[in-house]
Amino acid sequence: MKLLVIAGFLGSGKTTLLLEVARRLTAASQKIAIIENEVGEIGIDGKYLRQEGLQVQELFGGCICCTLSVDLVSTLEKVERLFQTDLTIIEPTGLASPGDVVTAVRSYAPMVTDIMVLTLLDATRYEMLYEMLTPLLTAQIQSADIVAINKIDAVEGANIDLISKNVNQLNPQARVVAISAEKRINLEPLVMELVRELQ
Amino acid sequence: MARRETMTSEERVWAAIRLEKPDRVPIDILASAAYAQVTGSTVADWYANTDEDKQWASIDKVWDYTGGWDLDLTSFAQGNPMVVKVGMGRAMGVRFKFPGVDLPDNYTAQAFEQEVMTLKDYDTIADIGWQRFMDEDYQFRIMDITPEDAAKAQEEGAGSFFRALDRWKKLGVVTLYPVNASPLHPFFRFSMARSMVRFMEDLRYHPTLVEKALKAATREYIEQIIPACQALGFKLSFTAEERAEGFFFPLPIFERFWWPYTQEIVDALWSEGIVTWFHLDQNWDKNIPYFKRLPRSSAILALDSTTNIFAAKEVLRGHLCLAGDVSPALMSLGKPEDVEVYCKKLIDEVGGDGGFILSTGCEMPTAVKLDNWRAMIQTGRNYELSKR
Repeated sequence: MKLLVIAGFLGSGKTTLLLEVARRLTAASQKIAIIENEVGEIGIDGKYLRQEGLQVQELFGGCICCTLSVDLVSTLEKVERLFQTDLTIIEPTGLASPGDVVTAVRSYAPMVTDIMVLTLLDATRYEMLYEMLTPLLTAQIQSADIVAINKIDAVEGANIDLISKNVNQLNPQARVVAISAEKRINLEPLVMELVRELQ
Repeated sequence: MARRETMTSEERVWAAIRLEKPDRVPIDILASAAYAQVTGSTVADWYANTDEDKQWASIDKVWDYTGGWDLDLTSFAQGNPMVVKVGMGRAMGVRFKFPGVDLPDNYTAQAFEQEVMTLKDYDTIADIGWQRFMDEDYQFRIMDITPEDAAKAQEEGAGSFFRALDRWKKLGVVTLYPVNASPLHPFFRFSMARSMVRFMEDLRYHPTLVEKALKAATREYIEQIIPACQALGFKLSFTAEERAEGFFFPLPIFERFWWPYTQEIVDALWSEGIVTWFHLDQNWDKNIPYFKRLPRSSAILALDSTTNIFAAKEVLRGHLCLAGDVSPALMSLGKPEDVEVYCKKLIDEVGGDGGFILSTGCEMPTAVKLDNWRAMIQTGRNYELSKR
């Protein structure tokens, strides 16, 4: 099973991107499942995703639960048992470091063969979030294979360049793309790249 | 030939807190619904239980099988689901989702974090205190209960708590000022009640408002804990923090909004001979050096396996006792031999010169394997004594 982790702080647009990737991969005959990690009222709606015809497993324990890695591994085992998926997409809580998710999977989930981490950043709130939650955002950026700067339609181009530069300093290996998931700006190439990588 | 124990649990725990070398490492367990599955029940049944004796039978069964421990923070039975609901809601200040009701049967009860406390409430808390705010208003926002429900649940909860104290006392187990009473650091309390996003925005855009409430809540916290500990004879007081650490916030935020209030709490309690047990979840690597500023032996840092406990020991050696950090993942996904190896490493490297309590990292997971639980206890009880 391959694993795509779509990380990012609360409100960064993870669900919009997740849906797009899931639709495309399903259309390409890939069997996929989604693990959603609820964190209070901001968590994505499993029912909505199910209406989209997607296999969804809730992963509770998002906000203060230290047993999250245990629940993650047992949920992955359940997904494999029930759905035999080619790809599982995890949307961890916005308060998680995807690095911790990767560590838990590598330590205790041998059924996962490949992991890709995509971190979304909210361009409209990046400066404030980076100032207030520097360590968390840094960890989310540093564990990413791809960093997508989202909501670029709502900010000046110069701001996007600054964010991009900051991301490059924190994680020179990551590929950085600027998108608007809602307005579908640069979304197609990103989704196609993910589909290509994950098939 | 193996040596024999020469200390009681009480002596052993306090030797560790005083940074001395006990006869063997003291063992602490923080568990609640973890007793369910290992005794053939479900987590949902645990929370829906109406028979206190039945839950005690589960706890006793685990105690007997594993061999027993020295310090216990949360193991006690309750026979009324309403008491559990009200107790957890008031303690954590959030709505809860329960297995069997809102979650699958064997999930851990889940704090449902959302913005319930408003920006205006900071002023109210500064004026009347958190406790009155909770009693008169807030608890009815997070739970669908009447004032009569709340009063009855608290009265019944107190009864269960005192029966638990009595039982642990008879076994010689050390307990501390109740985890289920007022366990959250004021910073963590506000973060939970406002939700993480709103609270972070409050710190950014309304810092003086937050500080005003933090000052009042800290003062109130101290004024509650000291007389309560004195009346009940506790010398240890529990406080939890899972949001202030360097995993989330940069150090200037920590220095302004967490550390001064923490120092005030520890100093006040310590001046009355009360030691603060810090339940520190998530990664505190960057914050550990600050704890050197606290008086020697005035606190215990209980780490959850995310913080590097071995590095923390190097910083705090000879200054503060550490507790930890057998992880929930290891206890539920590992094998008994893995647990044994890790406990031995902790005992050798963190407990080598004393000042260490072998403990669950965070809490015992509901999916714990009973033989892993036993391996942890047995390693703690026997490893050092078996060394010639």
